Amino acid sequence: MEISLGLFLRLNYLVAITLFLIGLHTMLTHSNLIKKVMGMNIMETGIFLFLVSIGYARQSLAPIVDQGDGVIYANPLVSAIVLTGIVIAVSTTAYTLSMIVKLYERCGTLDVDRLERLRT
Amino acid sequence: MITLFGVGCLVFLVVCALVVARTRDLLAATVVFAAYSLVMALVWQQLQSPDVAITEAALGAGITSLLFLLAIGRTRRTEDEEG
Amino acid sequence: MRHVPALLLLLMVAYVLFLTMAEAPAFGVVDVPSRNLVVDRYLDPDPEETGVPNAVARIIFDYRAHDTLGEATVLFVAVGAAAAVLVGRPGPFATRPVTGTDDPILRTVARLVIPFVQVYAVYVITHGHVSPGGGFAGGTILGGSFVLYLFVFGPGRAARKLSPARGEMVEGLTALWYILVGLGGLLLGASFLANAAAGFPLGVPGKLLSGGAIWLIGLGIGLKVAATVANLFLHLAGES
Repeated sequence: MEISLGLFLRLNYLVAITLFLIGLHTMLTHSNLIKKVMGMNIMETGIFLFLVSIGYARQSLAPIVDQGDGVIYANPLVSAIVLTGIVIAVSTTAYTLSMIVKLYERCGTLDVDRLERLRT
Repeated sequence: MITLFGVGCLVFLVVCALVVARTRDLLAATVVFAAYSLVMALVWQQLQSPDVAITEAALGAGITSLLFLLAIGRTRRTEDEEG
Repeated sequence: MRHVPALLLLLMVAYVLFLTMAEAPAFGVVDVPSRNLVVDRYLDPDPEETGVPNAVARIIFDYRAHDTLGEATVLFVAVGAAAAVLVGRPGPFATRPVTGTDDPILRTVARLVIPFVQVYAVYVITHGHVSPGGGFAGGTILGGSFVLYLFVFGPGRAARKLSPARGEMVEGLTALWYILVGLGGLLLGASFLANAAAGFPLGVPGKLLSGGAIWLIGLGIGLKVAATVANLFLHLAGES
């Protein structure tokens, strides 16, 4: 009972870890390159969910500071970090996908195992 | 955040991630990924981070999905390689 | 079983993560270690230091404007590298790039929707300091309207609206604009990318024309991200 209540109070962290693990599993076990990039994106959103959950406090408001004193705001620092992280995630996705497209044009496959065999 | 709606959003996220991981059709995975990102934006809003929410809705759901769409359009649609 | 090492690694990572979660403070508690003096400074109710109410915009474009300059550079370099990879001779397995559509419904809807998307994007960019949004989100929406045009009318017509060369020019000029605003702080006797300390006029907090350097940098970032997104999709669609 106590454990289940503790888990429920940390549900956001639990979901963040689950998303991270699903993404990691996708990256490790799938041999398709585009699927690996999707797994990477899911991993990243898992990390972002963990960070933003840390910044949230019960009864807190969005960090637009115009409500006077005595109000709890959500932590703006994690929002700024996650904002940077989302932009960097899109940058890496764009670069990786363009390399994958070029690789397909040259080799005609997206499968890592086949690419490995092509090399030899 | 611990509302029925919030918990439902989190469950939806996990289900979407599993579907993205399991489906062999990359185009279907991309569509589910866009839905995943949109619900993620809802979760950011529930967590009182509207700046992150609006950025996620534009960059995560919009640009990332379109990038996958174009990459699939220039390569192949299925994950299995039989021909 | 070729997946056994991967599963072992996954189990190890899961063990460490769950151990960390068990030690973490419960969700929604106010006095967590991450909520310290620095955060109180960022959430200062008196906006005389930055002149804007949006605490996230304060951090991104004022307190940590250096980091945002680095972030913008990463975006610039990543998209430049993507373009450098994509141009050049197509390989033997090259497929037909995007061509656009003849469907009258899509064409009409796109014509109707694009102006509204762009007005919304300009709103999000210019109000980033008083409400959620800002340069990155608004710039993406502005670039997204161009991507919609590209998907519906084809890359050829899209390149006539904004050619890759002109897009790159906008990208470079807005990056230069960011650095010039930063150097303006240096010129006015304060540090690089200083805002109120350098004497930029802060205006009335909450009004549209307020925030000094924050507003100027946000405007530049919005245009830069829009040009970057447009350029990236032009290259990915095979128009170079």
